[in-house]
Amino acid sequence: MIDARDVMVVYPGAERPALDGVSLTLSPGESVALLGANGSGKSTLARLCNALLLPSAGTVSVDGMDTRDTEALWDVRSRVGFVQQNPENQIVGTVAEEDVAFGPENLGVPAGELRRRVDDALEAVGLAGMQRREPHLLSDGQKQRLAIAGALAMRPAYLVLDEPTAMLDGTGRAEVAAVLKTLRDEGVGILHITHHLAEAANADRLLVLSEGRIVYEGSPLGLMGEPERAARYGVDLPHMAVLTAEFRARGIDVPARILDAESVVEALWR
Amino acid sequence: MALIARGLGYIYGQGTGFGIDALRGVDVDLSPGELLVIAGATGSGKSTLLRLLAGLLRPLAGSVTVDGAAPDARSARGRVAIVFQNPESQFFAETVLADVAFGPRNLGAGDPDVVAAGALAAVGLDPDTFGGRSPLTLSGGEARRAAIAGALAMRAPYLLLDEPTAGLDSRGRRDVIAAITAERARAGVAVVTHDPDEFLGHADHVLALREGAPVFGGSVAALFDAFREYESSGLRLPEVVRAQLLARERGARIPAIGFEPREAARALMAARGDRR
Amino acid sequence: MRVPVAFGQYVPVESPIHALDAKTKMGLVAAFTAGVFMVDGFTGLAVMALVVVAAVVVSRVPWRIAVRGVRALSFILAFTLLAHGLRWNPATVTLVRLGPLAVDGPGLVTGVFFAARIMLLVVGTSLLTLTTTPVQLTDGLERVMRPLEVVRFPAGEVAMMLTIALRFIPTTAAEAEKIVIAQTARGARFDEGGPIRRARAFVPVLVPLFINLFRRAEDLALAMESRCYRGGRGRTRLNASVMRPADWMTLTLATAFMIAVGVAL
Repeated sequence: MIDARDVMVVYPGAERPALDGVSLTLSPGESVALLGANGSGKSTLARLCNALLLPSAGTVSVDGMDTRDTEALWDVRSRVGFVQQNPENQIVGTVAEEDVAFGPENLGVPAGELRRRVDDALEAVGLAGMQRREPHLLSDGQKQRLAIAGALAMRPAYLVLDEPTAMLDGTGRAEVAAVLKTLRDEGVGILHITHHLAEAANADRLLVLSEGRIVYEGSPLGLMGEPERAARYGVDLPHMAVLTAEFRARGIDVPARILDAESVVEALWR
Repeated sequence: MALIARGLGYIYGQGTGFGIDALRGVDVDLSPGELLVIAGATGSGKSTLLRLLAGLLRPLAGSVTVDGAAPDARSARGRVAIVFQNPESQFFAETVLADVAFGPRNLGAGDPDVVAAGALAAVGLDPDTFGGRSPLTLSGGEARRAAIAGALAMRAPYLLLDEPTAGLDSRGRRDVIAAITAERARAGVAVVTHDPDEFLGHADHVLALREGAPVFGGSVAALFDAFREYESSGLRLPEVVRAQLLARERGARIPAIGFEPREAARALMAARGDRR
Repeated sequence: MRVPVAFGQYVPVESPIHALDAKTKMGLVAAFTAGVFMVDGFTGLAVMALVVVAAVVVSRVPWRIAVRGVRALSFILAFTLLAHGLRWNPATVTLVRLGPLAVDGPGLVTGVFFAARIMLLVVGTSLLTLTTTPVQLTDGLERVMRPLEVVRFPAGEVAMMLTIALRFIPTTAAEAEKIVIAQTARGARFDEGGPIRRARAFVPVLVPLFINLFRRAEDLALAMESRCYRGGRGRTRLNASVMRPADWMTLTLATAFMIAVGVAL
């Protein structure tokens, strides 16, 4: 389990703490979505999870290992895969398979096992057969899936993704979402940071950060039923959630989980 | 007075035997005061179309005319302004004002700093507060708007934007959309996007591209009538709009399709009342 | 639009020479260079020329590309010929005389010998980069440099730097192009005025290019740390370059042959 307790982060020269008394847990096989406006502290929290950053106060531990423990540093990082927003800037290798191999190579994984891990990771993100493809010839969605494969090849128990879909189009977003869902089902714990509540709709839990504090923790559907509250936190509800909330306010029963037009019309004219 | 394209076509790497057909048979009509939304997935040829309209590429088929004359990189200067994807990655000056003034200074028209200050105000950035700051200190939405101001400062009658809201948070998107739609008072505006939802409510015309070919071109009202055809191209209208169109297909009477979700909910409820 | 960018000079065809390990090819180039410098007669050069012709044919690199380096050096070749062949007011017998200038027979022969030697070296050594990908080259280089780690030379880190540089060449080239187009659209001109004005015109391109490179570097550093990069020590390799028996055999036989030619001819 990733366990952050009462974490405070203060950047030098900043007016207020980037994170202030934040707690978070993430278990294997669980998917947690993290929302918040720019500057709310999302990326800071993400970087605490794999010891890219250490808390000014409070503790962060990964499967019992404190991230401050320098002895455990590489164990922590290999257990927590990290994927950033810009797919282009996190690809190290000159061809796909060499990029995926980068993590396990650093861990000293022997050659035969390496090959197996690379091929498995590429297959898991739907890039089987693209071993020799050069990164700049991949689409943005493929690049981001390659970055995910690079993290997976370390066989992590958790995956922390900092706005992995912000630079992708609808197709790319759907590709990444499908990969994350499969990984969750296979037992990887997923912390997915995003601007889009629609992307968070299928998460097991939703956290919302605002100015360094957690202001909502609960089911994604719970927040969708409260458009005013969401707006206060700078979170855009899917328009369909606002629409169905309007129906419920007038006593027409349309469940909040319904977000597609077909089902709504079906519910209204059944 | 219009930016007009007829039968536009473009191929990358023509004559190499590996030519990639980027665009074919595209017509565009953009008049000052209008907002045109050009929708399509990545690789649909949207960005190529924008470069052709701005005179940065020469069409291999068809023609582009700006107020009657064919543009090239030189003559289009001052007639067609363009904002590329992630334009804030092109800042180079020490202050926001100096960066925005780059275009007018190159054109040599008017006092560049005065023009730049006007452009900053037009995108909702107070020139006194933001003008003297380093572009690198701006937030995502502010930086995007400052970059858009850099194009507005060209004071061109046509403004083209490539994915202007990509990568911004909800506040940043709102501010950028407000700045763009306000610009319609001064120019014809074309927005290229893979996420047309947030612009459709403001659009006069829509052009949808798929693999370089047009799948729909016309007014927003015409788009609603042809929405099945539009969606067969892999694009999708906003769910709120779809709900009203699907209800219409079932015989519900919805006189005006709304983009705002509360408005849409009321229209749907009223239609349901009609039926009962 | 994504168009494949060809960097370096690698010719992507399959051949026995392409299949050799990069380290083998580096060894062969060293042996060949030694051989060419050791021969001191035209017979020796002719044998070396045959070696080069055979190597090019076996490598399936088109002749046009294989001899490209020679064209680039045509000035140096001409200079070599003239430096040896031309004499100012010679006392001895000469072939052609033009006022005080004269072309000297033995001198010209020496010039031809040196020019031919340069040509062979250029064509022979360029086969290394023509048949080896940049990645294979850096990997090979890392292995060849590894003994230097004894004197604290960071071979692994240097190779990693080269690999990352190679990785980001296409990205940076595409970005530079993008910025040039964007600034052109804002009225920048890159083809007007004298050299100083032209150089200054590139400031609005170079400044954002560097800022973006630093941003990329920051992201990349985070990505590498996240994936447990801690220098070259203890790293294994997916595609470790291995010397196979064919490599050892080729290297031994070819080296022996070339040294023998060098000594004998």
